[in-house]
Amino acid sequence: MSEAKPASTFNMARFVIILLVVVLIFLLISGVVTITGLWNTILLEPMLNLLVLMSKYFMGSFGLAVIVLTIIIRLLIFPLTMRQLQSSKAMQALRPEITALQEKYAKDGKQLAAEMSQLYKKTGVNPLGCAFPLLLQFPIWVALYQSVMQAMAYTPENLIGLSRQLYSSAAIQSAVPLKHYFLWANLSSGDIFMAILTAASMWVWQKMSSMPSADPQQQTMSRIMLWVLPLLFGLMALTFPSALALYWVVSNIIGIVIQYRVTGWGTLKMPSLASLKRGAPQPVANPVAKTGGTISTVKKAGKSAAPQQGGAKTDSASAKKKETAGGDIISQGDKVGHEERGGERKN
Amino acid sequence: MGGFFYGAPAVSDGLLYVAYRNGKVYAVDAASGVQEWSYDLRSAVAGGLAVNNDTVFVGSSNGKLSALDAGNGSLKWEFSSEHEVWATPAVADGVVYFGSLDHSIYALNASDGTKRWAFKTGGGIASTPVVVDGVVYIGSFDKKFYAIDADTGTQKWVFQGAGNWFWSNAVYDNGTIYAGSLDYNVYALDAGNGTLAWPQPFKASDQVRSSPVIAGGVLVVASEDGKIYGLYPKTGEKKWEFDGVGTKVLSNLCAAGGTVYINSQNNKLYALDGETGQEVWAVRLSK
Repeated sequence: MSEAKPASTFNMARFVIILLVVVLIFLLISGVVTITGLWNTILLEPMLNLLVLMSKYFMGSFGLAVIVLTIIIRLLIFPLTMRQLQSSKAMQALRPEITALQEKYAKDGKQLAAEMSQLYKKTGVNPLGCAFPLLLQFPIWVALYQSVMQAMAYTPENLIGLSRQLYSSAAIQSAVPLKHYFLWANLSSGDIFMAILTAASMWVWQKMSSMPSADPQQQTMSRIMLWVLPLLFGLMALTFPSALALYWVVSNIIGIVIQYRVTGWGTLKMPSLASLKRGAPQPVANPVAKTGGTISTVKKAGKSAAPQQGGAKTDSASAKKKETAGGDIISQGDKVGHEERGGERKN
Repeated sequence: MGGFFYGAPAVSDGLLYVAYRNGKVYAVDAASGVQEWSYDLRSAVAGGLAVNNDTVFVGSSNGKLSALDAGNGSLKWEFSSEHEVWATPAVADGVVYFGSLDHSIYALNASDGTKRWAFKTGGGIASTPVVVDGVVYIGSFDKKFYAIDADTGTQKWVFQGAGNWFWSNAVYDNGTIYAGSLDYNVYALDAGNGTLAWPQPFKASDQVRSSPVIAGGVLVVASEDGKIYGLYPKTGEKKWEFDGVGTKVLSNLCAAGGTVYINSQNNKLYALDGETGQEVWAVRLSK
């Protein structure tokens, strides 16, 4: 009896979701609501009005409002971010086994697919687990981007456009137009320092979260992306109103903090104070591989990610990894590298 | 010259003055087109300029109202407000009046820029004040329309029945103020006490962001979706409607000799007979 209850709850939830989706599709097809109208009502307008309202209560500072809203949004999507990070961590832990399978069944694609599927099933890892939370976050980022752009209203057209989106509350209405200056930057135009901060913070975050790979093609791709994305965002920060750059910088910093909590510094190597003083060489690119720290890394991945999805099965997977994991996994095991560096400092 | 401009140029003593979005102000010989001088405000301009005697007044996005010598373009004085100045100033009896996005309307001595008074509203001001018989009429983003004593800066009356911002310039005619709002309505207000002069406001099919004009005894109004309406000024009833523009109309209407000139977003310039609403001509100025 006690087991039946969750099942019925689950079915009910699924039924409600399906019903909502059907109603939504019906409303869209019948033209009662449009996709743009729905988007504006559900996401854009609440976010935009909150931003304007916060500007009013943060001493008229739009910059502070952007920072606080970014933090609020990052907190709201925190569970998704964690799932994404843990999924990618679990995937990383499986990499040696996947590589082994790929080598073993290089000529039999069908068998490889079956084996991979079985591996995922056995370990409880969902290969799309990293992508799905990211996709869910995407609309929120787009709405935030649109809100920032509209709230800045740096041309008469923008400001009139804003008048269509604002709620009729006197507090919100009296807050516009917003003041554009925050610290040194005019938030309505591009700013070189904001652009540099955007690119630098994005590079650090990218570096921390990049997954080391034995595949040379993937390594090259990672290296290119490590530079291309920060440069691209830096250029955009220079072109777009720097309010947007401010949101990128804050978002990146939060991303760095979360990433550090989950995976440590990753492939970003922080030189220790002592080694800098001594002029000692930097820590090697993959310290754990040399020290055999693989196991502890895999353990972490298994503990943090897999149990959520696969439960007890994961332990056997982790145990397996203890036996099979090579140096590649470890570079993900920045925690170990970090602990090592900590030891170095003590010395 | 380069870029584009929002506000209308001004002509005085054979010179045409224009302020570009990029902050450059130019004076051009109206007959020959030869540039006489230019001045860089170093801040974006979103409004037009006003010329009075030997001075050109223009507001900019750094919150300043600048007074330039009309003859040589040198800076005479500057006055700083607390937010951007997108409105075109108005000059009357040696006083320059302008609204700022800092929610205030300012009255300055045109000769030296000293402040006579400032009147605070509940929202930004992007329209040009109308100054008639010692009263300044102006609408604000707080959805209210104000009549202010031009001499003292005290409020004479306020109309607060609109549902959205007053963006465009109002028009005064025979004791009535006509003002379009972003709530799609055109309001006719008694200039003496601010009460509604029509039984009900005229509802257009979109936001009214371009300033109305009186042409051929008809109040001509454009809504943003490109519809042009001819209204009876006394009652607000629709006399005619012109639906031939087919695209957005954002800029102010212009009237001369009973003809209304309309600039549309498709780069076409229309001339309509103000009395009948018939198209006189239409020309595509650029592609």
